[in-house]
Amino acid sequence: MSALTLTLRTQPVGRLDLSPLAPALAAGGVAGLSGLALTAGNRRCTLGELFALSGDDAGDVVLQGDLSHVDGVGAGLAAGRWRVEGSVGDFLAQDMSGGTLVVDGSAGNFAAAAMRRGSLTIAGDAGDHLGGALPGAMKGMAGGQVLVHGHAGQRCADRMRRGAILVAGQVGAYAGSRMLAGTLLALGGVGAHAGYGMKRGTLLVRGSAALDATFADCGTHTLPVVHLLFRSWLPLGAPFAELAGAVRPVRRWMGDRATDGKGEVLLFDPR
Amino acid sequence: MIRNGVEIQDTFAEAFGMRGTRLIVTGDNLKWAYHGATALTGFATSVIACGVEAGIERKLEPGETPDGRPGASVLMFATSSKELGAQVERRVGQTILTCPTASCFAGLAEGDAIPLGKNLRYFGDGWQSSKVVDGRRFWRVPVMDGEFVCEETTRMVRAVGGGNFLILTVAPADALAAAEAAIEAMRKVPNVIMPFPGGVVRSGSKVGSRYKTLPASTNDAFCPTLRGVVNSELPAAAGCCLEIVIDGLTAADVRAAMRAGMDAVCRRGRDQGVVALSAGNYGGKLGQFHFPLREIMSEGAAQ
Repeated sequence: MSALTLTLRTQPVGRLDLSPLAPALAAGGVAGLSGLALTAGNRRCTLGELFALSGDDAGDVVLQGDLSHVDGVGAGLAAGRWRVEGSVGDFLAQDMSGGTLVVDGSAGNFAAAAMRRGSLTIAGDAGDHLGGALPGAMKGMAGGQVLVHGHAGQRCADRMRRGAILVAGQVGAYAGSRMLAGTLLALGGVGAHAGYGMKRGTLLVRGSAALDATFADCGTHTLPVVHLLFRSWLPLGAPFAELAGAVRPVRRWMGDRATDGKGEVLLFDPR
Repeated sequence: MIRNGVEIQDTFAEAFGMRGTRLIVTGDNLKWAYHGATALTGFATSVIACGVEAGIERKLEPGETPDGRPGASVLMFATSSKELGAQVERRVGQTILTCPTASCFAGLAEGDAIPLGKNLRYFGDGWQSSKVVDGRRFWRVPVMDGEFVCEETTRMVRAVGGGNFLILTVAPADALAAAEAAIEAMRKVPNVIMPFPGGVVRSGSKVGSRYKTLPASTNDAFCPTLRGVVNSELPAAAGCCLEIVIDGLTAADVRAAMRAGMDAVCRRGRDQGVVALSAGNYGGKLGQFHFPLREIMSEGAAQ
């Protein structure tokens, strides 16, 4: 068996919603896939009209071409291995519940929104609301692991419930806003209002951060749990794997005291 | 059967089914990890009165522990799952929670989950929080030196307790030296502990007593000071007897430890006062596991 490869032949008019693909592959495999009904802008089309298909392994999927106008890539993915050779649009890996998804380029807004399990890697940047809650939803990402090797936009980990988001670059404003639990790592620092309205959960930030007045300084400590986290990231490669090994004291700020206030922003390696 | 002048008696050790678990205790350095692990396994020689039999299995290097700190792996055995669960919580709560810098983790990946930090977390009075790392939940409880980190559950497996052998020697000093050599060899065997002081027990027991309230009493057949007045099982040359008791995660582990220990004793030989090796049993009717000494000593080549 060879990897199922979908190569975008024709740029769709308007935005293409590819979210039916993963459920269709899980339900019916490769057979009849080219007839899968999709929506591009306000038009109906089929997968075969837009993509050239080759290969037959429904558990090993490769997507090629400029997919920056394609939304819902890997949405609902439950198992298998997906690789996107390029950038994608919004709602990448939405509701993902298993498997691994690697994007060589960047992703739009709401990547990993409401993700529950599995592993998502974005080699480039991620837009706003990474791992966040879908509009109207009470909870964001509820499990799994997201790696971003570039930067992430605003409202990253908004209403996040569980899991880990690791960002090698900077995270925009309102990082971890309304967070319920889980871990957000920002190696390149965070923007304004980090942890705004967070109830529980952990923001691990390298360097310093100007936090809102509703965060309370709890001093500098060496926390075993931080090293537990760093060690668990050893298999992830650079730069995340490089955190383990050295003892890294953290400056602990608890908040947001305007809500439950049991969340924490842990600042390490001060500049 | 004679090995290096030591008679291997034609008898067997009788052992029982138990419930066991492994815990990993870590600290900022080995000294404090061992303070915790030693206290955790203190007063845990026999289930008769301690509730649990426990011991330090081995030292753990920083690379072997979940948090990358030095530590010790501890094995605990009890007669029932209920008792094991109760003892784990009671002991970890009083010895690891209290021990500066110490953390406690599950040391087995398979088996039934029993609470470890699941209830201890309430010591945090609402300030406790948890972190799920690679599918395992760890509780963080604020304490006066920072945070006590404890995995939510540990795993419990069916195990074997009460494997044993008796070292019969000319003089007490010979028995001590032989027992120490045996323990040193047996500590290299994984998945076992020897729960008595220094791994060695002098008060072997028999079932029953002349006193109604006592279920067990001294094993007079092996007491050298009574050899003239009881039906003694001591050979004429033997003036002392010490026992080594082994608890292990499986019967094969207990067997391997018995072999390692008995080999070490035989290596000392008759020249260094070792007369015979025997074992304690109850006629074979009480225990699920039998370990015949001669069969164990015949397996493979003597080391």
